[in-house]
Amino acid sequence: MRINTGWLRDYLSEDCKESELLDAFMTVGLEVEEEHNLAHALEPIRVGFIREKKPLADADNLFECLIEIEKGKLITIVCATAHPVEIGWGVPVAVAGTKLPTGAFIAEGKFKGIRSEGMICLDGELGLIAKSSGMQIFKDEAMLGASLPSLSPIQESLVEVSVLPNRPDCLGMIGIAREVAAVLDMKLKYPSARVITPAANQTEKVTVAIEDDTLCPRYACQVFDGVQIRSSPHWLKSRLQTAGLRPINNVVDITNFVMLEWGQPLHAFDFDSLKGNRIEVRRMRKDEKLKLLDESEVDGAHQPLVIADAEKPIALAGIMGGLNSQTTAGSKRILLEAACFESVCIRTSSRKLRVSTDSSYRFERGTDPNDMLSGAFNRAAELLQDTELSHAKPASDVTDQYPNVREQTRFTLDSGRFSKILGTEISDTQIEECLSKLEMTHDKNLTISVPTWRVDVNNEVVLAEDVARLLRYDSIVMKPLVATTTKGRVSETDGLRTKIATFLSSNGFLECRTPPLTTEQIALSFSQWPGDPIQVQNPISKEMTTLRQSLVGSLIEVAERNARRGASSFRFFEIDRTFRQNDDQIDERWMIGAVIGGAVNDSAWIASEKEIDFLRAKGLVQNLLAHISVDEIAYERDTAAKGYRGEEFAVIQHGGKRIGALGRIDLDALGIKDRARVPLYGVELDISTLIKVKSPARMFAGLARTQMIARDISIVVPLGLRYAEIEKSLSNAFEAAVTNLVTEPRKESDGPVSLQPKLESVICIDTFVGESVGADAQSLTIRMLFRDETHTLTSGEAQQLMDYVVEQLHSEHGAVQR
Amino acid sequence: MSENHDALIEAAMASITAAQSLSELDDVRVQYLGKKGKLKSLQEQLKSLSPEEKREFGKTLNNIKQSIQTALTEKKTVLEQNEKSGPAIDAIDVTLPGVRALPGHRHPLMATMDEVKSILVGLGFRYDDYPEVESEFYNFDALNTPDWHPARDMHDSFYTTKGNVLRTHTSAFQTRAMKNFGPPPLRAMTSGRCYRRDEIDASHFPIFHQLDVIAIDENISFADLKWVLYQLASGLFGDDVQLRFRPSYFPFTTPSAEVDVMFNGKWLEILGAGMIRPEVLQAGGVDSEKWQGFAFGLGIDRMAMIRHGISDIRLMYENEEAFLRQF
Repeated sequence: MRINTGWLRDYLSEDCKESELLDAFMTVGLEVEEEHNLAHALEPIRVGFIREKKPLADADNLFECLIEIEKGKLITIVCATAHPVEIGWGVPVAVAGTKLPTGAFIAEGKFKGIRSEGMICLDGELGLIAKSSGMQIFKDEAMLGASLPSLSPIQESLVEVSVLPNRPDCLGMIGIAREVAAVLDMKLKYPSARVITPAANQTEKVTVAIEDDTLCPRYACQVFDGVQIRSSPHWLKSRLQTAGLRPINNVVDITNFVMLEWGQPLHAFDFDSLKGNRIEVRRMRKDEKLKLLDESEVDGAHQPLVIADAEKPIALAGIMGGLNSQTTAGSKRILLEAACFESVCIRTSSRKLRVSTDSSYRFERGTDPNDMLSGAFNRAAELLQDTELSHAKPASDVTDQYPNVREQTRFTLDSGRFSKILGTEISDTQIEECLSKLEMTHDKNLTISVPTWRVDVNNEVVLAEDVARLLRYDSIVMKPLVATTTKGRVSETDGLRTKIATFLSSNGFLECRTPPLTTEQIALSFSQWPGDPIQVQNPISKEMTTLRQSLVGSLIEVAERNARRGASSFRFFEIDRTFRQNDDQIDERWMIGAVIGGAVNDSAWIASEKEIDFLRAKGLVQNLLAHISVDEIAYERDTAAKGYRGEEFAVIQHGGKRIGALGRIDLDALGIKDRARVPLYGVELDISTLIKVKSPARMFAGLARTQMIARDISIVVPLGLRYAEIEKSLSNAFEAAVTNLVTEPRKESDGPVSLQPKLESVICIDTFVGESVGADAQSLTIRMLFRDETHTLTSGEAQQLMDYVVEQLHSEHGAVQR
Repeated sequence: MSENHDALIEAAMASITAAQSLSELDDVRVQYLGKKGKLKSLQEQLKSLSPEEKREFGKTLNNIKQSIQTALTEKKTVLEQNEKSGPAIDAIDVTLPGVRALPGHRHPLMATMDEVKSILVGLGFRYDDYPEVESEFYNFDALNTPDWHPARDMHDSFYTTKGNVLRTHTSAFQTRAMKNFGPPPLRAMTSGRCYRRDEIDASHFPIFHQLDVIAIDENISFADLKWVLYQLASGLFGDDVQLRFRPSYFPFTTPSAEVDVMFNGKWLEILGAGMIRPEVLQAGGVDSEKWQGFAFGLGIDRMAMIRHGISDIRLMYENEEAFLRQF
């Protein structure tokens, strides 16, 4: 809501500094979104003198004016006759390119072929409330080119406040003034509201029938005769303009003005277009139609609440009037309406029909049926009769349907409870003082009556808030938490996530945050577990329709984006949830995803020629799993998930159960142009499973002091024999060799020693395929590390073990030692 | 002849003195004492001399050799000493950059989130994860925001085709935590992604991060809330941090406050807080006559942007290397 502080001051009992007023907004909880001090904001507006003025050909309501804006500089402005200007007058001019504080941007325009290079500004258009003629006029030529604020002191601001949804009473100037007055210790000054005395010649009588008074608790209306429809006076027009409303005619302007003042929407019907002197408040019938003021048409499908005369709907209740009953230039008699509607009913209609107006906005949040008549209706009735305005006369009594009067809510408060909630001593007197500033009354037992405009007060804690904010939040002294000690900790999963993120960022990976809501293509690629996709029914774009089932797709996009920026080495990771739905069960699975490719050592100045390949990527995964104590991992070939290339893909298992996957990315299958130009590998591990299979704290295994024996064997094996098979045979053969081991005599011991050497490590250190080993064969070099814990093995003993292993590999796999 | 010898010794001595390094000194040694050195050529002359002259000349040669040798040895000791104790001319240029793999980096959002978490863990709060695909009940109804409530306008939500809502705020965890952990005292928090149908601009992204906290006990008050927020803020912004509390509105807290921090001479809004409404405690199965507590929630994106001076939220989701390497 946009507020002109000059207008707001109409309702305050005392004057105060502009800065105090602005501070008060914040103190009461009105959030100031934007603030224009007009004394500064109007600096670009200059006084220009009108040198020529002639009517525009073919347009009887437009004039072409030649205006001198600085000594010797003339511009052309086309202006309307709405406000007369004369040659020789100095007027406020906004040249094209100026942005007015009301938000309007002045652009160059063309009217009937004449270029207009600016605008002559009325007070309201500048955000000022008019004090006299509605436009500032200067006669002294010395003021040519001077800025507007330098000539007349401006003490107004335009403040854009966002009114919190629980406080619809602040959707009017009076509500805001009431809050501001409470903070600044002033009194709220209500506008005069003369109660209408019935006119002598009552000629009309209107009956009102409310079908369901839960939807419309109160409805009041009155006929006015002798209405003169014309343009409103400047004080009224400028006030509407500062709030961002366009003046239309005096009757419409009065209803809008009262809405801005009281927060209560009103409506004026053209009485002569209504039938049967009867108003019905009812649901729209399915076969009915209604054309609204904005010329859109609604039908009765949703049966919204309408206002109808004896025959037909004439307005969409609480939202917008009908075209069939609008006041026009020719209207002589009008029916003024004020009503209170149930908020959910208006909200439902507004949503279903997709019509939202200043009126529906207020009804949706709740209005006060008591202020409705005594405040808003009476104020509008008075203005309609004002000679300066429409000069109308009442032609009927007020018909007021109000079957169930809304009473004030009463709460019996306990200052002890308030003190306990706020953590500071609050006395009965303080409570009474604070709340009476908000026009709440109290009796001896601290029983508080809450005015009906406070629709938000449904619990006494709301009154505790009122007390706290009027005492100022800053006055409540903080104190160290005195409460039962609780154990602070992160969850086990979160701890593991942090550990993984730390490991990866220490290994050259950059952590990413990519949107989990993505395209269906990206969301469902690389998915390793079954489950229905979770899709949103109301996406905002095609790029965000589906919750992802894998992180890898998004990370590929990151890699490609960086490739476009010239990157040639890629290490990205993200830790996030993936989403699946199985019947009603939602599976939110935490994953670690990474994409890697490019130079192995991406040092800034000594480039490595080696690039990441499958085994190097696997090495990183092995280190990561070792770091988080996940042991006994198997890498198996399997059908590759969509997006991976089958020939370089492994599922990662623990105890036969899938915990993740590693594979080379198939950009073609994803339809992504390869900009990285290096093989990219994707890894994804399921954190929810890792947490279950990781080893507890590792136990100390003792330290052997004997010498480690290292032996390499080079063997030629048939191509296609998997390394894992060889390693398994080799370990088994070693164990068998130990049982057959013939010990040799030793200096340190007289008798024969007992030896139980253990194979501590087996590593493949080289593989070779080529002519020299034959077409269907490959050569492997395997390094074995072993020792006995009590005695260092002799070279003869080591040779016995190796001979046996080689023999076994030969008999099992046809391996030949090179 | 002996003059020639003296000249030879002098020249040798001068070369030895001039030698700056062990290798230069070795060159001098080879030049005089080496197989093809100057002394060798003098030795050649011996053959043509008589036995008497030979003896005499041999003695002289020995003297020459010994004095050169002594000088060489002395100089060598000096040079070796120098090389050990101080930089020589051919020392490595230590200002060259180290050869290293480029380091990795945490995302500024996650680093900020972890920091906030760790401060709160120190204050006795437990961290747990809660669903992102949430029911309307926990996201709205349990938080005193029934369907008709205008506050729902503040959150334009994403709904799944099966009728769930993508949580619009981490506050959705509040009543879940109350139910999960039974009767108070309770201090709990969660953080993570939230979803709203916001248009993307410099300060809005439809998917963003929040962290939410609740504390419930018999006497936890608004004054305690302020204390905890000062602890958190001083952990993030330094001990002399200034906060400002403004009245605000959340359907699930009363009194509610918006909290600003003074940062670089300006008040910046950082979080929303308040005392948990009795209706919310009841929805979480907590007796609101006996227990009371506070809740607060903060936007991690905004916090990260303030702390790191990031002007546009979109930068955090573009994941460009040039951006990620700055933190």
